[in-house]
Amino acid sequence: MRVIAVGCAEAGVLAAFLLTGASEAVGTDIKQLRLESGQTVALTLQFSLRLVPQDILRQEIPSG
Amino acid sequence: MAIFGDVIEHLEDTELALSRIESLLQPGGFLLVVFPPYPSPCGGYQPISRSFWGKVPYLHSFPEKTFSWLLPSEASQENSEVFRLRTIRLSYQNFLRAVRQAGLGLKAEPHSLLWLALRYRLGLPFVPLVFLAPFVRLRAGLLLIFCAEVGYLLQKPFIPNSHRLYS
Repeated sequence: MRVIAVGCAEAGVLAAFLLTGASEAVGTDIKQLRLESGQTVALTLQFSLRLVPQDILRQEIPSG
Repeated sequence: MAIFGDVIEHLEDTELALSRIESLLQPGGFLLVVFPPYPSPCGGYQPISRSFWGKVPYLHSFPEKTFSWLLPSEASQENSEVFRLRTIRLSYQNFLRAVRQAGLGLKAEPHSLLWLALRYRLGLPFVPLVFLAPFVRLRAGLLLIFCAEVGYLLQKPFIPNSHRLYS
């Protein structure tokens, strides 16, 4: 299962999805700082997350 | 699968956000949306304000003048966000209308008595709103003002617009 979380902040919910067997996880948030801290945690815990800074109303969602 | 966790109530255009996500989903894909509706006890997000009045539930249902006197929007960044949400006012009706417009089908809608983020932080059990129903003899619409947070499980139909044929 592929999961996308909009406004994921530090991507804690995505980490839970990866633990329960999601094949791919993408997170977007308007706040770059929160994504950066999420990425740091993900690197430490070896989660393969893709976190993209994005405003859902003003930018297209990155595909792929 | 896509998730909006306590996000949709902050967006000015609910329908645009839902249709952008809908275009990303595969047919049969799920979308989980969790948010505190505006009429709920803390639906105005006033608890993020650091002042005393922010702790008062239903404060956001007060008239504009009283509300802005108690929580001045220029006092802090949190207060100005509370005021921005006052212009969005995402209620059940507005949300469900946007769901229909975006062409999504409704699969489940659990109502929670407690704010979910708070519930997980404190390790409290899930209290579905139906438990209150036998004790509080109110009409369903009125009962909803006690509901702190609501979750909607939506599904993109396998055949586009098929939900419109049957509903």
